[in-house]
Amino acid sequence: MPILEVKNLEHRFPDGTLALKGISLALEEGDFLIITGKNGSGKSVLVRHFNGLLSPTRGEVLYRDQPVGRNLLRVRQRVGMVFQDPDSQIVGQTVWQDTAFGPENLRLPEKEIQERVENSLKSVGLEHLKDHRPATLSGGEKKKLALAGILAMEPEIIIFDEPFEGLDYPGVVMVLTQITGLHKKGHTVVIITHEVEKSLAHANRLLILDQGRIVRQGTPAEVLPDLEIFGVRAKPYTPDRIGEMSWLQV
Amino acid sequence: MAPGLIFRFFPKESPVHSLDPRFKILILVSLSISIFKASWTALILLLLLSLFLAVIGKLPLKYLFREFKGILLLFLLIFLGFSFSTPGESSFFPGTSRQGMELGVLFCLRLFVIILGGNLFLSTTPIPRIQAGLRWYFRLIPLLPAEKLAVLLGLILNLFPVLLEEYGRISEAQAARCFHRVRNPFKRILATVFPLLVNTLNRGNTLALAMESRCFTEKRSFASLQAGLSDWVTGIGSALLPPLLLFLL
Repeated sequence: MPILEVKNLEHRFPDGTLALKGISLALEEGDFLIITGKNGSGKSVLVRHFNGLLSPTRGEVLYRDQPVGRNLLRVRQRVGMVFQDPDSQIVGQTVWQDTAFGPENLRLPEKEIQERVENSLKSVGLEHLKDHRPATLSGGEKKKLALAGILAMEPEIIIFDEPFEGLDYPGVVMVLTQITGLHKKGHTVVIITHEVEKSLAHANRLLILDQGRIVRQGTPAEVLPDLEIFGVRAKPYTPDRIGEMSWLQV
Repeated sequence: MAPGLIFRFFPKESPVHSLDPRFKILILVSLSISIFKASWTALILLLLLSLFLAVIGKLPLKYLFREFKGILLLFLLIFLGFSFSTPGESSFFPGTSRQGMELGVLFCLRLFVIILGGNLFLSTTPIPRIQAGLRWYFRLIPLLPAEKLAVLLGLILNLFPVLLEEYGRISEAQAARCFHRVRNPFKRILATVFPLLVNTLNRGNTLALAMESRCFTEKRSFASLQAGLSDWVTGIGSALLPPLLLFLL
């Protein structure tokens, strides 16, 4: 049974612009899905339906067979989203406070909040910076902090919106190590990126969006040859070299 | 040293940081009320006390004062306003009065002590503890939605640094394009306010989405507050000091 299912989704903005049309996909437990496509193809709009930040104009999104809108609190707890710009999602004045933001919203007892925050910071390697102000962190550390804030909610699915944007080589390696580590621990991972060469080796599924429609989806080997048709750079890689498409030493 | 310390929490371990936020709110309210009747001597004593507490609170005064430079223009405008509009004996500068100048300096000093006190409060108290303290007071007033109001005020405090940060970014981007050569004040204000508004709204929108995706609600866990004997002694003592000075001096 899929954990997340999108059925014939359509999304139209209030000004009448059609952002998504006829989107259907199913996410299985343990999947590592990469959603790619040109700027403005609807990638971010699509994933914002996964945790109910946006509601479909037509069609439906189901989390474990239940419409997402039926229990938003549970869905947002289980489907975590790390946004593109970490600066605009940090709400705490210190690393610790920001990580505690989600668990505090869940009204958890203080002791549990403390445990979750400590575990999350430890798992992303930021425990030594817990009293620091987020503004003083590097780009890679801010992305890790954004991830720690999501991990403290104990999600099942983690969505990363352009996780490598603006990061230098060590920053990408740092974030990618976290992502692959979480996948190995059993989390279902969804990455939105147009830089597929950094992480495709780790994915088991690849999906291309173009003008709000799914134009290709399948295994990376099946979809890779068509990437450049839809404006995503794939050269010099070929399906037999997918294993090289990672910035980690695979 | 990171920029943007004014009105921002500065994590340190100090007696000022650990004081129960309910007493800090009480002290701030007492200071704000008393200060507008305070004499010169009382004002200077309160200023010294605020500076002393800032030192105890391990705040980097040198950097803070550097950032306070930004509000010097406001003080200058207030001073000029009083100097030119208050009747009295004429001073060394044509059109101004000696009494007006004195009043201007007094008013600026009062404002400075309040800003310093407010900054001391915000720099040494994390927002979750401020929210918990505010909720405690709001709960004393019947029918008031205490949690909602406390969370709302906490959000405003959270967004204030965002505004300052955006202003800093816009100023840097403009300076990089020689904006300092533009002398027309209206052009300068428009060129700053418009992008500031747009950027802040955009950032606020993304922040709201990110908070929503982390299950944001006003019915959330609040920090637990426990006042010890030292909190009571320091808190009540400090809260009584401004009105006492007002009475004595």
